[in-house]
Amino acid sequence: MVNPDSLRTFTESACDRGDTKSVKKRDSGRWKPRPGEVLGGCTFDGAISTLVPIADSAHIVHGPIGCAGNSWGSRGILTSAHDLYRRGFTSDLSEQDIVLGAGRRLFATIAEVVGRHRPPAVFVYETCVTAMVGDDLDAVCLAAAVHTGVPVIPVHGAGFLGTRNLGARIAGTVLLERVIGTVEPDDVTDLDVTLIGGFNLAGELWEVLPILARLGLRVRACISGDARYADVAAAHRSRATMVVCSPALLGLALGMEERHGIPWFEGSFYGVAATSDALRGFARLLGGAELAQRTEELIAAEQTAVRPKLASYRERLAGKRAILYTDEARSWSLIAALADLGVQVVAAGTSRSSDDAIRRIHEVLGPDARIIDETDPSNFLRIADETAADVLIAGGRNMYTALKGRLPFLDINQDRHVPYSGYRGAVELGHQLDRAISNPVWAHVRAGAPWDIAAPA
Amino acid sequence: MARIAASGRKAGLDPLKHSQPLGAALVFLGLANAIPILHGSKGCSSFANELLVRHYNEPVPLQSTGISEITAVVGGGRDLVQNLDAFQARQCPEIMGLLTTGITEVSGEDITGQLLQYRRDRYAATDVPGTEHAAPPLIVGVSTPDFRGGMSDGWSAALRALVNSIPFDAGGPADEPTEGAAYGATERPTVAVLVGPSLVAADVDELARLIRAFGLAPVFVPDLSASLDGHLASSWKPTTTGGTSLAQLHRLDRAGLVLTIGATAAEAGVDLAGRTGADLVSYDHLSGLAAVDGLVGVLMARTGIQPSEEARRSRARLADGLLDTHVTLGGVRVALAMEPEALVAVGSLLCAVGAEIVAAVSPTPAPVLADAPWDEIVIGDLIDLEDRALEGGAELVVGSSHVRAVSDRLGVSHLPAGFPIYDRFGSSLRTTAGYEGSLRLLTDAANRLLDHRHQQNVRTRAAGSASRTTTASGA
Repeated sequence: MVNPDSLRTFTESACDRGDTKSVKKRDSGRWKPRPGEVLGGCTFDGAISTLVPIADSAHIVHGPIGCAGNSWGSRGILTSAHDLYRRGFTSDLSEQDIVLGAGRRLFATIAEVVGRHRPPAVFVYETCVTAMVGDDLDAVCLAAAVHTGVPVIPVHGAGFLGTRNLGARIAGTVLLERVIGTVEPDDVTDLDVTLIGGFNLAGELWEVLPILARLGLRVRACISGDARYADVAAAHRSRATMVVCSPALLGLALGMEERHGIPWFEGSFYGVAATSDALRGFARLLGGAELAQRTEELIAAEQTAVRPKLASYRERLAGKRAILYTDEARSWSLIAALADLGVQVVAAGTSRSSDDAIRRIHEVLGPDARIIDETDPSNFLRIADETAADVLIAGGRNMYTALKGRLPFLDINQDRHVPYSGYRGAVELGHQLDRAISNPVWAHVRAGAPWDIAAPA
Repeated sequence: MARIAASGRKAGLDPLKHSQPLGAALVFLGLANAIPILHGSKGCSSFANELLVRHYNEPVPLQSTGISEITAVVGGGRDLVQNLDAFQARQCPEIMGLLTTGITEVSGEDITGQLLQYRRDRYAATDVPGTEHAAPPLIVGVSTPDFRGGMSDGWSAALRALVNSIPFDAGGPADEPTEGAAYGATERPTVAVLVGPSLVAADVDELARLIRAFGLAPVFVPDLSASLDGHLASSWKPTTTGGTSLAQLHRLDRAGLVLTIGATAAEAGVDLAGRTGADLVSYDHLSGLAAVDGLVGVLMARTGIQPSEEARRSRARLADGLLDTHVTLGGVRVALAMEPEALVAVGSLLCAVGAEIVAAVSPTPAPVLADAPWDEIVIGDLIDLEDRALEGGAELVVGSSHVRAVSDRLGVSHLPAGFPIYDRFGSSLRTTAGYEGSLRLLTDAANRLLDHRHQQNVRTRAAGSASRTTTASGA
């Protein structure tokens, strides 16, 4: 079924336009994988990963058990209060449902979940099988919303539509069309801001909130990390938006500007310079000489405090060579954070970089930078060999490939338990990198077994 | 003996169930130089891959054919051929398992016909005498729709498809009798051991030692002890790094005995014994003294050999451990949630020391459940486990890492068992079978309870001393 939300996703104005794309990328709307090389998450994965951090809501996967059964409760995001997002809810379709229609079962699932948990909202995710069967998901969700008195929001992001990135964009469209602006807050201030992206990995948001609070800024909503439904629904009353390393959600920021007049900027909290730039970005958008001056004072104080700590890690890490392979656009923002530590990125890439992200990597690393385009894990070890890399910085999925190749590894994605954002995070990144590279374990495992070492003649 | 009850709920809340393709993939991950391929969207393999990696702490060579919206509608036949060619060119596997998913089942892909055609197109040349050609890989297609059955059904389907499609190497040399075997040289020392999903790497190791001590040569199918046991190989490989080899599979017709260990492998055992004419001996599980004694008795009778000193010592240790732990575990109210075979294995062992099963949940029905030595098994999810564990006053909850959240909410102890275990190391050593494996499970269960009681005591003491201080200062 053609869904208006999905169509809007393709027409949003912040999308890379066809005429600025390489031929290879131009057809990404008509995604087709290379045979024998199908890695990375699907559209459903992108959609649910973006929305699940709305932690007090129920997230129901409408499909057979494969989609929810293998993924629920596993995301490394943290929240401060609710744990409903960690629960696994699915319509768990049987063969009979597929033949006779799955609507009734979905309705019963929504009713049961709302009855047990009373969430402020329910998100329902379409999957490949339910998209193929052709149930009217919107009608069932509407009926369930009327029946339960709770907003029930359909998300049309079936896995086979394409990439994980597309799923994140669809999720952004859903928030814009159906959530943001549906709640009127009664506590609006002039310094309310919204963060888009970020996912509150390992509490990274919590590193940033105190800094923003010292400037008097209040984060009305973080889309999406440690978010509450009512806060996201009231995000249209914030005065500025920052898109944190999430090109897939640029369309959401643009939409909030078009509809609600909220100015936005793109930035990152990785590294000292980026964090300072982000704070200046807010000061610029919110205006006022007084805020700008306080911001500069805070930046000066924080940078002075962090400088000696960074210097000690810089001493230990200077000249180390890293391969950076991360989801979405973290790559370009991390390169700067690594440069703060004297670590040189010798190759970088992502499985779903836009041309824009690749351009930015080149801007930072120079035109000769090696871009990793293929996601076959064996490539990491080959490239590490060729570039004499000291460490692979990537998502947890690639950890065991590195370890099996006896290559030091630093986890940068979902499963990580250490925040790298903000000023303290920049130091923490140095600490963890040093720990990974200079761990005594490498000497132990690189030594051959007694039977592999030739006996002296 | 157990009554099987349905939860009666029309929703999956905190699902216990995993999909068929996941179970089927595990069978192929226990074969050497193999790759399982999910015939579905890329999310089908990436979610499954992530889960397996987190459970085993190992890279897992799981692939997908990357069905898109368009191929789902117009048919994925041409894409399938391109994918199979590409996997062979890049990974050079000896064995490929092609597993359907919900998408390819709904779109009605005929993988049996497509694979037949593929073999005809690609490998007809190998039949021509004098042509140079690498040995074609064994490609096994398995129908494993997500919307029917669960992980154990997928395991069973894959194992059956495998034993039914192995071409036996009838012209090859006869097996050498194992060295020092008293078992006559004219007899057939090979034993085909088909296992279910409850056996981990360390279980397979112990059972292999036990069977070898009788002068027999067991071939485990699948053999996760050499692939997902956690070992550092000399170099990185794009396929499985160990497991039952294709050569071993080709010679399974030499086996005089087919053993199935785990109810999930039972049907595949019937198929294999039917094909080769071997004797068949089946066990629902090998947890606890009586079950392992049964196997040892059969092996003694077949070979005329007495058990090894090692086996005798292990048995004596288990017997002693049963006595020691019954003091702690006797009368303890236990709630369990696992795949059918593991549920009956672990539950039986805990029953043997007098534990009381107050809640037992299986994700899917299976014949083995009826044999459980307690009253009732519910087909349901973790929400059913939680409701019933609360009602029954469970003190120990046994199950995966997902079950830990249940035990946290109930404030009771948790014994990690089953799949997935993503919050601690050593999944491949989490044994349930054999004399030694049974003992490890019992001591783990008893220690969990003791730890939990200790922590409660510490908290109670802290609260007690705090209230005394308050009283004293108030006086």
